[in-house]
Amino acid sequence: MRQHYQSKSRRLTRRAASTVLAGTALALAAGIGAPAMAAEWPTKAITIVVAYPAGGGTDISIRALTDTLGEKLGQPILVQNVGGAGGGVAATKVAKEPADGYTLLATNSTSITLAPLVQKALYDMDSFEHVAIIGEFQNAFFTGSKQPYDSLDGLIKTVKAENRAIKGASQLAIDRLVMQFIAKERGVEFVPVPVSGGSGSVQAVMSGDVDVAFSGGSWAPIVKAGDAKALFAASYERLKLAPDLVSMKDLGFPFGVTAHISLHAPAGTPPEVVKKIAAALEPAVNSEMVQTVGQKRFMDMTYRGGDAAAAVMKKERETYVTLVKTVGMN
Amino acid sequence: MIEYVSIAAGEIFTPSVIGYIILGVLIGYIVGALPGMNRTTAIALAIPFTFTMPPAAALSFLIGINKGGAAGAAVSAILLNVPGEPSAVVTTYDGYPMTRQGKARKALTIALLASVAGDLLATVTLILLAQPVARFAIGLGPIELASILIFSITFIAAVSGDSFFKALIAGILGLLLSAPGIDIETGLPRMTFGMLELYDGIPLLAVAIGTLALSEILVQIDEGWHGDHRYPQIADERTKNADSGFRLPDVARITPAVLRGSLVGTLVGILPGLGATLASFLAYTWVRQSSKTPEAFGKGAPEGVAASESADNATVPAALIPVFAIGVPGSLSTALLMGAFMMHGLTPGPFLFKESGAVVFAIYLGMLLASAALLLVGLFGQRIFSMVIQIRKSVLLPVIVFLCIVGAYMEGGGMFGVYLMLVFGFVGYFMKKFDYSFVTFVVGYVLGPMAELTIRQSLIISDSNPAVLIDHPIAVVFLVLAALSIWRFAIAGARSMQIAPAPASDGGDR
Repeated sequence: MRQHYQSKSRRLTRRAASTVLAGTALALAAGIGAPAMAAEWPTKAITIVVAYPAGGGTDISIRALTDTLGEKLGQPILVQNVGGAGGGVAATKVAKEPADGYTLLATNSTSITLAPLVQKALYDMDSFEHVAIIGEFQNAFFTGSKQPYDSLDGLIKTVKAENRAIKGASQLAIDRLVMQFIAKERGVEFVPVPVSGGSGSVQAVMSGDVDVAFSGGSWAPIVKAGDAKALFAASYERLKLAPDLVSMKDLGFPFGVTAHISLHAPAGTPPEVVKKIAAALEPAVNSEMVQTVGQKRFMDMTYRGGDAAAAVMKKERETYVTLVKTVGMN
Repeated sequence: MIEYVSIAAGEIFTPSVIGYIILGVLIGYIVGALPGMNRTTAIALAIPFTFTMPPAAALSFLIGINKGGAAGAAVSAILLNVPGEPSAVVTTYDGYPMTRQGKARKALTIALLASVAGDLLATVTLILLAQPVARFAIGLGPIELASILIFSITFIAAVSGDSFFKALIAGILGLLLSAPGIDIETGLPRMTFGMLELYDGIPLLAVAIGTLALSEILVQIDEGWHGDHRYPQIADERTKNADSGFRLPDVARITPAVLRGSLVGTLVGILPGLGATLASFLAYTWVRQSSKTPEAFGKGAPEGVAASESADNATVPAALIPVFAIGVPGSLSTALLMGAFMMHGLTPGPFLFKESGAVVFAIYLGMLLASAALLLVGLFGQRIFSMVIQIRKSVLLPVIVFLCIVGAYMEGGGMFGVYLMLVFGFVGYFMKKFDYSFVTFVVGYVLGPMAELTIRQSLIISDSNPAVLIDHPIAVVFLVLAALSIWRFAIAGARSMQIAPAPASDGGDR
């Protein structure tokens, strides 16, 4: 762009050149330049920064949609994995990128809605335009098959009878908050046992060391195999892929939590660009490839863009604000 | 059963599938041999390419990468004293001295045979015993794992060699490196100095590339290399050295070490989170301790190479045992493979065999074939790779430095990883100069996070009440072993101090 103007100005007289430049500056200042830029967008490859290491659920679903997305936008899509701090490193990095739509963030929505509330973060909800939600994890609480209970009420009854605290495998702030809230509501203590990753949760449950664990989908195969029992879904409504499992709403709680796979652009990205990305994302998410990936990895790949996505993010934030307030900072 | 085998054979023994397996092993071998490149990353990047392959071919391909990577890492460890991956660090102990003695080809052959043997034995264990072994392993909770890790940490003292306290200092420094990060219990950042990059702890692979690879480059530059290619070459295997080639009697010599290494590798591989670095370290220590000539270790003992390499490779199939049998991955690379299973409609776990018996058999066959491919690729590859020691160092070293930077960038979260790698390159350089064991340093920081996690888990689960040990006999056994090993190594260490020139101060009442 800049080079273009420079070469043009060289052929003009100095005064004319300064007029052209001033005019351009004025046009840019008045915001006329932005739509022109948005209309041409994209003119180069787009980078999607995935906030987790390669191979995870977020990474796989993004990699599955890049082909269709690139085709619709007419530019190649590059995927870059920047793991760390539960998505915090990538979010910090993308928030600082120029708001031109060429660098996007693919992450787990909790790293945007919840993380700034419970840890020191260099970004917040407002640091991003929320482009779209491309799917959701099927979060649920589960327990080992040898435990005597198979519901939340049974668990509460058991620990009350044995006069002890609930011990739960905890891998993230989100499961800790929910269990602490539930424990508080039902008048018992909750002790988190830290584990690393979904497989850590599964292992702790299967060795019988904890009463309950939380995961985003790794519970499904072992429940199917009879090595574990699903207790309840962490979401407010029932899970799309496990409609028989009771949810937070069924248990009488006023909210539930769902971890979404979401796509964000730095704040200030022109709305036309955001719309363009969202419009190209919808067919990409609905492509056979992404839907197959969702099915195999036990994720509900349902596209929500524009205002719907922003609304989901806002609601999620409100839930976490209430949760953190009720439970208190740990 | 028989019909499964014939279906599976029909699926695997096609030119394209065999081609995929060989390609997988080859990719893994090259990635493993290149310092800075990591096989876990190679698998993650290869997964999208397997979407369209048939399931058995895709999984054999990915497992092949893993197997090749474990074996390939030995090549650069032996030839250049630069382990391709942290798990090959122990291989440098005896592999590189062998190269300096002009026995590079022999060391490479031993490493390859040990790798293939360890790999094969663990694969057979997987095929025959997956279910019972995995059931047993999953019953081992944090309390057992914590005691195994405590026992392993005491082994740091065992490899100390001549400088007991320096090795201990290096090991403890390594452990301390795992301190920064989010505190697992409170969720609050600890020693991160406000740096977001440190929230997940110090990126260990970037540190490993620095301390293991870059530091060695600095040492080699320092060792009298001044850009002059006439600098005396390390005697290569063409010089008619009496003991330079691999001969039949060598097989008998390394067999006990290979068997021990395979056993340790299989056991460590099955347990979640312990990993190949610990396996090769424990195997090496065990073989050295039980050897009649422990003083030969570290100076080019073939048994040392065999122990470390067989253990390293045995962890690859062994880590798949819990995945196949109960659907629980124990490490990042097996979690990736489990993801790949699910991508292809296979749900790992007890039903895997009932639901897709033919495919499982095909994967088993593919894994065995990958072992054979490993032998092939290794025999061919080491001929090519062993030429690198004849490359002028002014060409070779910059290439390795470049690979180190790329690797640190990929593994350490961008430029932060590169800076960290550079810093630890110099740390490693001075450790080598002052004879602080960098192996105990590496083992310390590999074990640190895992030990902290399991010990704190155990304390929470048991309400800090030691009475809980009564219900965990396996944990008691390992804790007693740990106490014995501390006692034994402490005495050995104290003795080594007496032999050493007496220190200026005798301690006094400090």
